[in-house]
Amino acid sequence: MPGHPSCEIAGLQPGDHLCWIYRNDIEFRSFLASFLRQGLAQKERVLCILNGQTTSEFVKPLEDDGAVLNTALHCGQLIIFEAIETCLWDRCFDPERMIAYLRSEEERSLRDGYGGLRIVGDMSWALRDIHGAECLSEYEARLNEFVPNCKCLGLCQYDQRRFKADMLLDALSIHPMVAIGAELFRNPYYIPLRNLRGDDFFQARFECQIGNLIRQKRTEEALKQDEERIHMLSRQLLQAQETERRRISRELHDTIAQDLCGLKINLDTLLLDSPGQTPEERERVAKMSRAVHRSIVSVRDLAYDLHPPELENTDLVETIRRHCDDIVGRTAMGIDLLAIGIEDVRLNLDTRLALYRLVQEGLINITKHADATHVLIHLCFSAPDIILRIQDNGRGFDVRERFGAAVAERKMGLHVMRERVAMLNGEIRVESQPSLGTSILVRIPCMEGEDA
Amino acid sequence: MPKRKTVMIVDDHPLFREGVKSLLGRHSSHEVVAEATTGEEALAKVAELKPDIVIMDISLPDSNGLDVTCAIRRTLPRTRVVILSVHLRVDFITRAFQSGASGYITKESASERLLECLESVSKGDLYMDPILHTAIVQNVMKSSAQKSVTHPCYSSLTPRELEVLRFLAEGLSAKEVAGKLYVSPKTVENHRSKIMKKLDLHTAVELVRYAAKFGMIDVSLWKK
Repeated sequence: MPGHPSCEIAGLQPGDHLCWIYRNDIEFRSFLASFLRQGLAQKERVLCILNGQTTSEFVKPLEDDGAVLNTALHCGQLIIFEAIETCLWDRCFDPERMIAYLRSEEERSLRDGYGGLRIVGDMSWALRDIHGAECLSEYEARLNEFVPNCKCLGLCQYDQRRFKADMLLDALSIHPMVAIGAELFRNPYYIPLRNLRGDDFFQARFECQIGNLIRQKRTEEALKQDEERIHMLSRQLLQAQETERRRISRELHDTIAQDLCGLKINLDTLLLDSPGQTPEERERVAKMSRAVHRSIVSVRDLAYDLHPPELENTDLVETIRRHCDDIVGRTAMGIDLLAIGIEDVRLNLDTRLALYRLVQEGLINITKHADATHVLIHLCFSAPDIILRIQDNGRGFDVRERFGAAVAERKMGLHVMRERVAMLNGEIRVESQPSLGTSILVRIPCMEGEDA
Repeated sequence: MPKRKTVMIVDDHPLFREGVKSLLGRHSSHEVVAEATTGEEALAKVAELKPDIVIMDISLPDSNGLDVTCAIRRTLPRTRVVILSVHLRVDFITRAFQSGASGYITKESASERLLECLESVSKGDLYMDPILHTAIVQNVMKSSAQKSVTHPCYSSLTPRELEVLRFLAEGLSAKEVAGKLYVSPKTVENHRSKIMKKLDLHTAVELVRYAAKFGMIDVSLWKK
């Protein structure tokens, strides 16, 4: 997933050597600005080697950071120079000499008290008439030895508009890391051997690509396994949740409510049994009895909420209807429930529960987010399936965006519904458009049979 | 002085049984002659003591109080059963009376209503806890409206006919349906005419409209 450039760049460390291929000025600005800012903030010295640009031409597009860059230039934390005017003054490129130069710069930075040296090098000098430009690959390969062993971070800058594809391919095979535009990648095309020429190079490249194929396949397999694991886990979670709800509901109803009833009847008869009580004492006991009564009512409501007891023995449609009535009573929303054929099949408890929960979750989503005035629910036995449709006339949403953002926002309603349907080998489709309402279609194979 | 009515309490909560006993002990009209904590024990004691009234909880450790009620009513039709339960759902109440109970009260109303209830059922009347009245009336009102939702004609379709109905409504030709179901187009035609007859439909459009109305096929009712 493409992150914000500055987040990914923050992960870069001294010792990293990357090639940065950008396609336009926007990519150039956004990545470079973050890269420089991070370096300066981390108290590293930043060295920019330009090609054919003046310092002010280089800094201009970054003017949002102008003040910071100027301060850094002044105090010597940021050093910007043009290659031809300095290290390539004799129009000769010698990898050895360049590395030696960088090494001395690194040592100087550390002596000056900086945490390291961050180098940005515009590689387009290699396109100019420079003696030794053909040694570019060799130089990059030597950087792979130099950079990881010192406090240097090297960013080699390749403008895709200027370099030909063969040079870019070479760059790809030489850098352990690659940034495309503003995104960072671990570079699968990197060939960790240096100074290869001709057949050896092609051999290494071939092996690298075969390795990539295998690795990619393994990654896909692992991903698939992970996905299956997640599905399995979420199913188990849903099942566990259902079991727990049922258990708690039973416990509330069959133990706590029962005990409270026992308590109440005894409090009430206590009054009858002891005629010697004062009116104050009677009133106190009566108050206690009323409090117990209230507790009975709330415990029972809670128990019914957690697990509707009707689902166990009476029909699904009636349970759903009652739930809809509850919601209509609590909200200003109208709900039509149109059920057909369901009473003709003996659905097993899992299916009944899932359909009930789907309606419940669908309606929760609608009351929370849709701002709808009307909901239409279809529940239909259409052999060999049960079909459930929940349609609202609310504000709707962008389905793909919603599913994508849900995880991050911890709004998992739709995902839970999806998982529930998958558990019963069914299908779910969510159709929605902003301002046109939402329609959820569920198709579940009709599983008849006794409850487990 | 009329003979005291004999009462048996079936409930597995001792505290509650104590309460009921103490409540009835205050009045000379009823006498608790036995207690039981399970359905099995209840049936054995009922057969032995033939009480006038059985006060029955629904959730028993070994069985459902409503099933026990059925059994008691079968063997001793003159014994009245009063359900005394925590449950407040209409369908429990309905099933209680269907099982042969003569009264239903919730446990929290017991201290106020139990005696009244026992007197009613002794006279041969049915008794229902007043706090249930609203729910029951609402349910009666609703179920009359609901009658229109049960469709005997739809229920009379066979699973195969239901399948054919959906395919036809989705716009498949008889030949295409035949291909999907591995039967001859003629069989599909037969199914089709039976479906039309059972549902009292006359044209293909009516069939599609019917399927759409009940959500079998994908025609959004909002986008009219």
